[in-house]
Amino acid sequence: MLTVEGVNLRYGEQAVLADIDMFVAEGELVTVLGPSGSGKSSLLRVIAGLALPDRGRVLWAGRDLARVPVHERHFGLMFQDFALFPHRDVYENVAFGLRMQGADAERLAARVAEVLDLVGLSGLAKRAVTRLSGGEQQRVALARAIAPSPRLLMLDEPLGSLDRAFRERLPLQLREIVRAIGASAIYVTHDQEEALGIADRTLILREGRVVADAAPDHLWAQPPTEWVARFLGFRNVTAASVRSGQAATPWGTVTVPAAVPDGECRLVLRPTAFVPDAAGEIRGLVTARLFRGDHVRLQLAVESGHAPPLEVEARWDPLPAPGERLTLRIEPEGVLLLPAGATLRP
Amino acid sequence: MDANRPALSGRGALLLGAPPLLFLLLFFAYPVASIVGLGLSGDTVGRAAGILDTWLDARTVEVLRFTLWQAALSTVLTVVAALPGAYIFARYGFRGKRLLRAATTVPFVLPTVVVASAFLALLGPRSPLNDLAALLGAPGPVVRLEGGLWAILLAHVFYLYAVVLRLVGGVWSNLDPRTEEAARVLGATRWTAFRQVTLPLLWPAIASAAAIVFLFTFTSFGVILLLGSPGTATLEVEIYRTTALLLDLPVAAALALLQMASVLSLLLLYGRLQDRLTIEQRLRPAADATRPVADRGSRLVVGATLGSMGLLLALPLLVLVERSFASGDGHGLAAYRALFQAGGRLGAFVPPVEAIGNSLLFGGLTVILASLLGLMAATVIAYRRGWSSRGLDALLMLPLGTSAVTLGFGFIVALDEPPLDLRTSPLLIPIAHTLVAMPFVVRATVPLIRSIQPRLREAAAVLGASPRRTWLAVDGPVIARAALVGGGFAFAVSLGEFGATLFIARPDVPTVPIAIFRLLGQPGSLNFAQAMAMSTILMLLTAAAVLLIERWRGDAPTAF
Repeated sequence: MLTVEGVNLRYGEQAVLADIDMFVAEGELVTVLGPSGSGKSSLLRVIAGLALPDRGRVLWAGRDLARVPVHERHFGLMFQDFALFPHRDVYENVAFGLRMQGADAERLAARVAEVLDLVGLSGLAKRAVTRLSGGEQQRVALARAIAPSPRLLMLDEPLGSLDRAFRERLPLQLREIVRAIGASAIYVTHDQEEALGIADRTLILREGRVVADAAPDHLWAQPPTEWVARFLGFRNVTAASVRSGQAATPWGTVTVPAAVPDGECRLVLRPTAFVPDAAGEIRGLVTARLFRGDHVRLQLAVESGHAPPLEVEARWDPLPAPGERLTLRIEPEGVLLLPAGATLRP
Repeated sequence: MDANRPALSGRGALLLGAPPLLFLLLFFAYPVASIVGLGLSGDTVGRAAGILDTWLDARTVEVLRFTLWQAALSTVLTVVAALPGAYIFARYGFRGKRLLRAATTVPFVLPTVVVASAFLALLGPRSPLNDLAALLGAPGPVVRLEGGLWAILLAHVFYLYAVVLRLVGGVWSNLDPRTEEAARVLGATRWTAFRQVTLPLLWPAIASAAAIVFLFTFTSFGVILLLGSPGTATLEVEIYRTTALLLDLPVAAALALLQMASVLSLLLLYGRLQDRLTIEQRLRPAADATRPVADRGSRLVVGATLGSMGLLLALPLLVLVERSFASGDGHGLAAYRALFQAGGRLGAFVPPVEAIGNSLLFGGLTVILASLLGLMAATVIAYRRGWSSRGLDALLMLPLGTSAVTLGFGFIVALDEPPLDLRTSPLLIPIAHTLVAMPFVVRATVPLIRSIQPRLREAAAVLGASPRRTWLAVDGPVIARAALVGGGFAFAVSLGEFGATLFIARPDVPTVPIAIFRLLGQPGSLNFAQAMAMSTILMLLTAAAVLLIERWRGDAPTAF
């Protein structure tokens, strides 16, 4: 229902958003992922109407919103750090949007109670918002944003300032709540796991441009560029030259699908692609070890030539110690080839 | 032993605290007690004027009414005038902002006599606006606001603008702009968001700025005396006139008591207000709250605000300088030359330029007295905790809460006869100025001294310095700087002090503000131009003192 067409935004001399195209269908949850400074918050501000694009359009159900002021867009925006009204209590914060709609007292009280219940804050209605914990403030902010039943809900780094325990529990709750109110939603974050974890679709921003727009599983299976691959956490990226189904890499020769044409390309080895195998093609020395509970992450110095260190993730028993030599085989599905031209922006 | 503060023993504190206390006792408490005695004793000139008769007199009620009325109007006008400025300083980033913000403070530090002169120059019968109008063929003067309420109000707005700008602007720039944006997204119009979110959050700052403006204008003296007509008298002016023109000291004492009581109640009210209005909120750094002046709307807003700011704050001073050079039909140095000629009109005694020498001399003496006593007190307050420190602090602030006219009046009634006859002493004026300046010195230096990092002392001690060497190496330089800053404040205060000085200056030893006052009281365009010239000189001297203070003070925290 939301369409963003060719949006450009400048802040002084600096281009913050460049030719952004974006679509959010009814009831869809789209996450926008990008490093800090990539323009994620600015994009939300443009959609909300808090910033006017220098070029391009924002449409809702085909209607251009250029002349619709912020307060008439019926969008909800949950700010980073929440921006609660410090002079109002929890109840009044949540009731604000309904008051602006001119809701009568009965409907207002019912809706506020309903929303507070939804976010699990029923007991705290009369509490001053400055006396709440970070997690409680976050839920007040969410309740405030959804109380007026916005047609589009935007969440800007909703877990940004929360500690780890919250960060792991809340995305699922958030997703349930968004589903429950049936609105379309845009969820902005810099955290890859968070973004891919709950999205119907993920948009990746880099320096104000959309560099990827796909369902999370597709994105994970085939990152469109090397930069995206690295941003998603793949570190084993290298140049390779392919000849009849075999790619020569600094780490050794790797089998690639036969359909791959001969020539130079960029190649990614997923950290999960390695299996201990005495007959394997890769030999290396463990230089560092990070124990992660169900698996272990190793850094491996490959013996051949000046290859960069390899990152390897697997279950091992017993755990290999730094200084130990390993021989590994690469599973074919762990080899990823980046399309031609993908190396232009390293 | 308290590791954070070097030990200032009880005896040391007593030794350091005694001189400032004694000074206060002698030159503040004693005069105030004399006023109380005189006010309560009533009849001395054959008039049965009990204190209540004076208070309930129709004239007093009228004066009180006018005092409150002009203070209230000035307060509302100043807040309304300064809010747009506070907004653009808080929300926009543009070139020259720092400089501009510093410049807006200039009117506040100018002596009230200079402020009054500037508005006489701008709005009086000799206004260049009238020259301009005549040139354009107007039949008579177009602006002739002096003597009316408007000139007074404008002058008040002029010199108190910075109070609102600083206090409200400071809080505003720390408000998270997203709080207001959150309201907008939730369906509030721009105006509703401002009214329901921003304004309530600014309210404590607005209230406290308004309270300060009200207090200043309630005790306004120089501006009203010089710009007002005989019908426009505040309590301050009335005390002066009753003393100097009617020579009715008991009535003046009764009025002074009324003034003291009013100011005290205002201060108490202000304290209560402060407690009630505080809203707990997370303050954020101002850096990310400003936006550039990019689109047409914001260019219009910023341009219009800065333009009106320039008109209000710069124009009067520019006209003042221009008028000081105006002589006859052209411009020249005639007024400045006349300042040096004996037989001028300053009571026919001295050439006006001598007033500059007097002011500098009194200023110097005030610097010595006020920094010495002020630093003694500041050291005790900064190094010791507990009731003795807080008590001394509060006592030292008392003269600030008492109007200048009351102080001057107290000197007249208390120090002109044995046991303490200082009428002819050249120290009388520096003593009065020290009383006014000492609170500033203490306020400016205590934070400096307290800012000394205890770590530095510990580092020096660990490196093997004895306590004495540590003090010399760590505390010594800071206290020396504090003395410079305090001295600068004392000098600036002394240069501009008018209310108290008017009571106690001897006719043959005027200070610059007194000389300006007298020149303005005499007819003729040369006298007027001389007053403007003296005002210009005083303005430059004050500006120099304030600039030096800013330099010495650096980025250290202060109470201002």
